[in-house]
Amino acid sequence: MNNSKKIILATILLSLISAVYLSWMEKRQADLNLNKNWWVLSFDNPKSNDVSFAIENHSQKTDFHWEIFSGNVKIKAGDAVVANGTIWTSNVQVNNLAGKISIIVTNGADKKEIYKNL
Amino acid sequence: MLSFLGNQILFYISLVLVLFLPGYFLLLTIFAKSGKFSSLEKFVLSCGLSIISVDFLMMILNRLHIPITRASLLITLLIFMSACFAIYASRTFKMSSRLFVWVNGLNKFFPQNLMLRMKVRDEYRKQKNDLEVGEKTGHLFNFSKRQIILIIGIIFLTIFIKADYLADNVLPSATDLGHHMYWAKEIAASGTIPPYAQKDIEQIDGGYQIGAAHSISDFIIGEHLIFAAIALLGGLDLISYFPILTLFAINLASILAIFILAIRFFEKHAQAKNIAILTLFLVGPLFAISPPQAKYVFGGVIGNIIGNLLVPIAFYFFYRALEEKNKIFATLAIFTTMGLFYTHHLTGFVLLFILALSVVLLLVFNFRRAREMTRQWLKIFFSRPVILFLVFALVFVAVIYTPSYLKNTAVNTVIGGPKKIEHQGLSFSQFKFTVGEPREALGLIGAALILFLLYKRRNREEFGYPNAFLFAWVSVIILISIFPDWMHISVPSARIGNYGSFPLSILASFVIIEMAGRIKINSPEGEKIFLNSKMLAAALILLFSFVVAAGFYDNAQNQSQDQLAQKTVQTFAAAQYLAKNTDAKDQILHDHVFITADSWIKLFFMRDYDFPFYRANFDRYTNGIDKKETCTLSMISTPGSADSQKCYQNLGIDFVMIGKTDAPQFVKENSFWQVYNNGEINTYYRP
Repeated sequence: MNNSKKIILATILLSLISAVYLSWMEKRQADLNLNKNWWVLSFDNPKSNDVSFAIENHSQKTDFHWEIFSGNVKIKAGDAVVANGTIWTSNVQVNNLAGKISIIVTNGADKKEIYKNL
Repeated sequence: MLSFLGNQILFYISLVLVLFLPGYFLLLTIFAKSGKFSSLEKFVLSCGLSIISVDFLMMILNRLHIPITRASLLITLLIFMSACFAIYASRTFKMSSRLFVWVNGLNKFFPQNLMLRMKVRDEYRKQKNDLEVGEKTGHLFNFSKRQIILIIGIIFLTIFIKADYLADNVLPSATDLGHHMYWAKEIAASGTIPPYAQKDIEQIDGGYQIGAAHSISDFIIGEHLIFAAIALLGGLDLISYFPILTLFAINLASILAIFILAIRFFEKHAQAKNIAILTLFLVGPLFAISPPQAKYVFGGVIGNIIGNLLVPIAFYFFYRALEEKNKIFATLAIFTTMGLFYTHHLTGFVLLFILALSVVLLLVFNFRRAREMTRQWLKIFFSRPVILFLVFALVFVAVIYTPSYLKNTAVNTVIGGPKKIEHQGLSFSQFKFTVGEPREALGLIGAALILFLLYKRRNREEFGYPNAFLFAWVSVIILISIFPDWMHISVPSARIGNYGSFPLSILASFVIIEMAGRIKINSPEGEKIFLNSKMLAAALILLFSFVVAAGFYDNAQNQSQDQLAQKTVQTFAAAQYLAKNTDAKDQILHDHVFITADSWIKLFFMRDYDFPFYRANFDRYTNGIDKKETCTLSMISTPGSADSQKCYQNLGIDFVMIGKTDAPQFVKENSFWQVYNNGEINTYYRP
């Protein structure tokens, strides 16, 4: 009778512990918010002329300032408080737009821009 | 938390169902409880045989046009295991249901009926042989308390170092893994084995178009089926921890496979167990991260990872078939080789080269007994079970599933000298880094020593199978990776070079243990050697320290410095945005050069293997082999150029996903709208 079963048991046990640990790590890494610092600025309807936009926050900073420009002219501006892990959608109505319409959003020193050339 | 626990339980159950149970029941059917294997051998061999069995069963389901779903797969696996168990039980029951007599020497009851005496005699012989083999196996795998502690300690270190490396990279992002998981998802989603095909950009009459789907030879079905099986059985997402953990489990099994192989190869050596333990140390915690270890696990180099399990198992069965003149082992050796050809044909070819060289070596070094040896081989390999299995294999290849590389031109691309830069062979120095310097140095000394021992055998009755296998294994790896021209073969040199770490570790361990053995016998009564035992011991400690330091230094060098997780989730988020906001009419292009985890983007669309199109690494456009078009390059690098605009127009590309490095050239162009920005990925729309 050999005693290699002890090796098997140890291997299974150690593998199981490491697998559970790695799975837990993956769950944390895949979490959009945990220990992450990023946010998203996007158009709700990328293919249409609609310029409504969304801010999706995965950072700890929650205060955002947005501005809408037509060319170089600021046509609207506002602030938004977007909690970590949530999406804020603009309810801004802007009609008869033409030329380059830019949305510029700042979050502290971080600035992002999206635009449509209508 | 509950869903995490649920997923975990389902994953481990699926893993056992796919990676262990089918192989275990197959072994039980064939060998019952004959004592031919130790528990550890059964455990390791079951992993390899399970992978092959599950592959074959899924291919049969596909051929029968039964959709591969969770239910059909589960039922198939249960039927397979039940059938195996039924055969095992009926064979056991047949013997026990008769009248018995006690047979001395076997300590077992046997049938009393006179008509059965003949069978009893045969059975007696078989059982006696099994008992002898069982006793030998029991002795070989019966470790002392210290050895057990050492082995478990080595396994602990191995798992700890690998897990520590993988912890930073366990969120899947590697390019190869992404490509493979596309096909696994396709199988799981469609319930069939898809043809390996993709649509490419073609240049016709000065214009560009998306061509019809054409076959591709880069993938082999065995690389994807087990992942599809686990995804189906566990209901798991392929963009998760499970592909990497599955590869990790296979990688650990391959290390144990080398351990059992080392014990078997040196079973006649007094220090067999110590050689195997040292081998475990050299392939386990030392160089635990560099290829083909944890880096290949993270990278999703699936063919090599599975190949590294199946190759030692194939050697194990070939060795036992020849050494014990056992036809069933021979059948299993061919079964494993066939499984290898359904998983990674490059490794399969390497195995065939090694076997061919082994045959040559054996014939040369046993020249006087060549006829006797050949007769033995013919008896083993032209036996009923082997021939029946070969017929089954031929029918399987012809009727059930023909590997894609046999249908396409993949074989031609492998034969006939190096065709790519990375196929042109390694220098000795590169080979040294590929396998680890101390392993290379000591392993080559070991190879020379083993060849010498093959020549100067003490027991002329033996043919020297392990010596021939080991020498051939090392030689073929060196020849293919350093001198591919000589072999007329075109395969990735570094990947083949990595295969050298296993045989070189066995040989390096053999050399170290042999040297350590010299200390003991350097007594007044023992053999005289030039160094005294203290000096030899000091030299050995120095050598061992060098091996350990080199191994752990390599681990430290390979530790990940980047935190990929955030970049990876940003890529996935951008892909999700496009998947939500596009339809079948939209064509998408993304960048590979500056986007993390970009090969996973296609899993959010599942429209074609080459959808979205992508800008590849720059050298692929100039090497004359990989990329025949330059649209994907120019559409991102110079989006405003006339040629790029033509590409956009002809191909209907309306969305582009790029990293921030390439953003400036798009901002200048009025024809693009920037519709998405997450700091890492910018997405542009071309109306």
